[in-house]
Amino acid sequence: MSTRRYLFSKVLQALLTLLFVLAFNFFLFRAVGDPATQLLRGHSGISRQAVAQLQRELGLDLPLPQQFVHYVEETLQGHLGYSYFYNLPVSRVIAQRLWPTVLLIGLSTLASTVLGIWIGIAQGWRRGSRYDQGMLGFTLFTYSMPEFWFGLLMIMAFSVGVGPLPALFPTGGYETTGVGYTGFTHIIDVVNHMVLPFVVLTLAYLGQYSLIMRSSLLETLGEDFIITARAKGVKENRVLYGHAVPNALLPTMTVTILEFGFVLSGVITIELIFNWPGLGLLTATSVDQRDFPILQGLFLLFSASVIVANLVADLLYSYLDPRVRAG
Amino acid sequence: MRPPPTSTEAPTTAPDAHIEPKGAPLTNPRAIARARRKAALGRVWREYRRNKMGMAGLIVLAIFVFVAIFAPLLASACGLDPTCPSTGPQLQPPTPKYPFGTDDLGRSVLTLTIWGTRISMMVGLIATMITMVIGTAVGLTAGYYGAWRETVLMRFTDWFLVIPFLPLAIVLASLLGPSFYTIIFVIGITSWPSSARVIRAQVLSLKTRSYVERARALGASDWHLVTRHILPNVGPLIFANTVLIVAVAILSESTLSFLGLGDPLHTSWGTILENAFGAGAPFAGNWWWVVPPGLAIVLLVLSFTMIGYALDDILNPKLRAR
Amino acid sequence: MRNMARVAAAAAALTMVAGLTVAGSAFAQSPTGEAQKVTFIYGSPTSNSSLNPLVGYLGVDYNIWAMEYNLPIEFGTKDFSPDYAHSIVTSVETSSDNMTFTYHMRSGMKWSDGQPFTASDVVWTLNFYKERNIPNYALDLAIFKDASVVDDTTFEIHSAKPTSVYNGQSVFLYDFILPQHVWSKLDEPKKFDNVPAVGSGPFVVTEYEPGDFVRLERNPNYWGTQVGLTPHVDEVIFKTYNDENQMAAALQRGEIDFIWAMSSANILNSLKNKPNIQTRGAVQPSFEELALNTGSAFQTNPAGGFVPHGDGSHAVADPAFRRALRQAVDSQTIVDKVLLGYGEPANSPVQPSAVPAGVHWDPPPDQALNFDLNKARADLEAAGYVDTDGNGIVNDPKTGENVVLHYYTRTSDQNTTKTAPFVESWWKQIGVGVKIEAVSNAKASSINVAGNLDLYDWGWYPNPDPNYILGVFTCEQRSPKPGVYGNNDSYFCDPEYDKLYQEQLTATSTQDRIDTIQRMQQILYEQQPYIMLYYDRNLEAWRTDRFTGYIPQPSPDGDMLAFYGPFSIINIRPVTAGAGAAKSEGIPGWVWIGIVVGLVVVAAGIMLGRRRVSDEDRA
Repeated sequence: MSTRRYLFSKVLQALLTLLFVLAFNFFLFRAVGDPATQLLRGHSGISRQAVAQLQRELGLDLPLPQQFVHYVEETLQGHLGYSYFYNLPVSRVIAQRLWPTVLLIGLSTLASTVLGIWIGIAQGWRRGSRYDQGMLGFTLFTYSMPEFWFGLLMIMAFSVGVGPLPALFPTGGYETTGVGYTGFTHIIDVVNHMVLPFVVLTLAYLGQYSLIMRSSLLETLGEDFIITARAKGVKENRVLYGHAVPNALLPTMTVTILEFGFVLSGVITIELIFNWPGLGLLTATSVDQRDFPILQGLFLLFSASVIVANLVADLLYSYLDPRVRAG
Repeated sequence: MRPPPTSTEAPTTAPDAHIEPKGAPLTNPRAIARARRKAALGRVWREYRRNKMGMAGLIVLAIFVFVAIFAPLLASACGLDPTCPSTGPQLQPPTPKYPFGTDDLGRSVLTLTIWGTRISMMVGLIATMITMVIGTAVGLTAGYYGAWRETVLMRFTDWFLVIPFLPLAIVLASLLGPSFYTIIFVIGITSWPSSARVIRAQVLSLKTRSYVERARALGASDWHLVTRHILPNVGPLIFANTVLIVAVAILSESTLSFLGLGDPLHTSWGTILENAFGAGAPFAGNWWWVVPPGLAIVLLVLSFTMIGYALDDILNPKLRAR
Repeated sequence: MRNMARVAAAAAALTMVAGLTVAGSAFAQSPTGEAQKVTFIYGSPTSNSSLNPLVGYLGVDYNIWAMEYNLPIEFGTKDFSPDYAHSIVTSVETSSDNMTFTYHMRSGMKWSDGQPFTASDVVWTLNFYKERNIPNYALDLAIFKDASVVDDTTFEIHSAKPTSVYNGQSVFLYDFILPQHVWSKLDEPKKFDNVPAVGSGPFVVTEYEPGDFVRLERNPNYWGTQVGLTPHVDEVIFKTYNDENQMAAALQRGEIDFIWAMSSANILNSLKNKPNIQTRGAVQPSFEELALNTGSAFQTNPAGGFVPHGDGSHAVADPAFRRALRQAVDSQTIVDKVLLGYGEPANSPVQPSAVPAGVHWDPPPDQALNFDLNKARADLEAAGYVDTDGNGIVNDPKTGENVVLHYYTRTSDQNTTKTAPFVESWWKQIGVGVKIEAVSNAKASSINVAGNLDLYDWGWYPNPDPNYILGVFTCEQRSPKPGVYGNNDSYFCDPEYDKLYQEQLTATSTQDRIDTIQRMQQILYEQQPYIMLYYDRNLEAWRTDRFTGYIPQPSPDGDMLAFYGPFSIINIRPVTAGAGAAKSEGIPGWVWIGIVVGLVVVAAGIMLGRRRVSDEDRA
């Protein structure tokens, strides 16, 4: 199969998946129930006429297939509806929360991937050594730890201060409220706020990557071509970095990209605990408030990013590994 | 949230054609196969015993199972009820009478943690069963039959893989109402795709083994092939995979309960942490309320993970040291 | 190769040091560089829902509007009585037929954009609210016909029937006055995001991040300076904290100045002993109740289009049964255990601080249904509920079945979860079984609307005037059929009560109105559609080293930020000069640079110094 056909088929598959997601999204949230009756109690003097009027406004009196077509049209134009709670366009609310999450996920994924791979390589190469055992224990421990629990402990230790430990870091949020720092001071301010959630996320996923890298490297080291290389007298350093790692790295990288969906999930509880104003926090509060238009928009965004990540992984894999393209 | 760890390639298990069963020679082919399997299991167990990590995991798991089963004897159920006379002063740090201190209603955190074992383990195990049943069925069918069945099923699986776990779990849980049945259901139906994938890969590699082709040439039916040849050989690795999935299921339950999607009227480790968080334990410094349930989760998950990795190390020939 | 790497590392280190010096000097300046602004920051666990007074409805929404807009007559901080000295209205005259009310306004008032603030704005706003049937204000305007302008400082309110509610003796119109020149020009007023806002209050909203914070700045044209209302703060910021641990830690670190309406009494208690922090469980109208289904399945009164629906039990539909239940609930214990003491037992949905003054009613001792399990058991028996099959649960005389009540708690409120076991235990002792289930708010609402419950645990936050909360119990407010919402979640329907409701609205003297409302509360107590649990407190905490001058409303135990009006926010001032500036947080910038440099050096050292993988390392 030529490269172009491969690319084309992969992109087509991605679009099909996206369509499935749109349909799934729509019907899932319709199954939740009539949005108009989700109006919160205590709404002073809400009349039944008002509820009926709301139902008409939301287009809920149209037949379902028509609503779905309408939904797809609107989505493709970027109109994701109106938030029940904030009475603002969903796209506006989501857009403003995008950057903090991208920043946090981006940096922590980078750190945990780099560190994880580094540790995994060292472990795989020295299998059975004290380093391997020790790191294995450490990574298994962080892997088994609920990340929100670890976050709570960090807050207790470093934000609130426990015993002699001073409260080193701000308790949460993205920046100091109300002061309006700019430029360099702003960057430092954000860094201060980001340290704890960053550390928690990095450690939470570190183990994942190092374990995979380790397995991958061990499997690669069992391959024939490694024996060949050694028989040919290639130095160990070159065997490791020139032959084993590149081959072991490939599947690791693609798996890393595929885990993006789970990193997205982890970020929800972390943003909640640290009051980090990103998409994860928005998800948690929208669930509380039963703000379905926002949940629907977030769902779409999350699924779409996973689809894109998968596509990137596929394309990357095919580019780097000619065997795949050959079918 | 993390996915169940998967090896990057499907490991293969060569059927143990070289093990000779001890004792008098058997003539019945079924008996021969059974004896072989018994011997193979014995071999695995002996190797497992030598694996320090695996043994440690097994011991810890045994302790938790003991606590779960004998919970009523270890801590009276009355202690879960805030109107019970055994409750003490609210929010007390550990004392000899209350080794893990008390929560905001005066209940002993030790009692809560002990009883929480039951629900946390049960949810994890049942959810995993659902996952494995669906995953195995899908993976087997797709891998064995191939052709259109495989395409349809794998496309379906890929679609499900794309939907991010926690948002889907949250939405489903808020749809179905807060209860542990919901959580079991949600974890079950969102975790099966990755198992299906792994199993399919396994089946694919087994399908091409010569003994399978031979058996087919001899006229073996699909059912016979699947149950007598494929399943027993896929079995060990499915088992190792299952163990790892239980670990993930327990973590998922704790996260979903923490986010308020579990049943607040019952006690699991996740709901204990949810209550602690909501009552301000981190700020008030009520560390005794936060540490024990979390540590319990870590230890239980760790034990399953260690067992799973030990099994993987043993059963996967590619990982054997040269 | 190695040497080049070393040189590169050294160069990097030098650059970092240079950068450090530069940055260090940059940090010597204050963040804003100009004269320090006085900023007051308060936090709350709930986000505001909308800045638009036509749409929002939460307490935190009202707080913002109270700073931006005026009511016709403001609630006095001492006891909610009319504060004419500080309102836009200075006096009210009532016509002899009690249907026309003439309001005199102050002159020379302006909106924040400099436009004149006159009677037309008030008239336009009230007519607009009435026309559009805006839910927040609909009950205030139920008996309102229309308003008209007499001149720039005078307007008239005309009521549909004779009444006392607009006669100015008590504040009845809890309705924010909007600038006509802004809102009348909008095509879709409900979609207006209202930021930056034009208002008549001491502050106006200039910036808004939904779910995160709201920033308000001084209104340069505030008319209040005419009457001695001069703010001492330049800027107010309302910040939402989704986690109360975070919020408390922020107060402790001085990142915010005030915490408003926390829900965790545990956190409040921990804050009590921290230096420079004061806490208070402020008295507020909010209450919590067990709402009982008084008969959605059995009632025949068709008011509001009602048809019987649902599966509530006969027992709960029997007032004698409900009275017995009331005597088996010990509110004081719940306050002590669940609220950690921050509350008091309640008997009436009309709060003690309600106005007109004296309208709150408490049962006289001979009518009180005190906590008494023995009496409860005896009353149950007298009403015909006996345990005929000996299983410990009484049987319904009508159907013979065991009485097991379907009781719902709400997952969004931990207090409901904590209350349930206590109630269950008490009721078990008098022979009433319960089946407890936790659901979300939306689910609870839809179950109630379907009539499929015996009771649930919820609460209300009444207005200072009881008209609204009393209206909840009218027949017309019941959900008429499954799927259609109604405020009257106990399905209480009493023609006598409905008659009295209309009477209080059309009473021409304030005293008559008060008497009628007292009689209504008595009916509610006798019938027990709600088992009133408690009035809960507004848990607040503030730093004493930042601002001073808080005015509680009502005096002396009420809310320190007094958000029924702007008075507290106007009065607060920095404790000392400079105390009002916002603080920077965390590790200073130059320390960070030092850390980065250190890490880079260490990493370089490891990379360069590590011995290469030798052949002896073969795995």
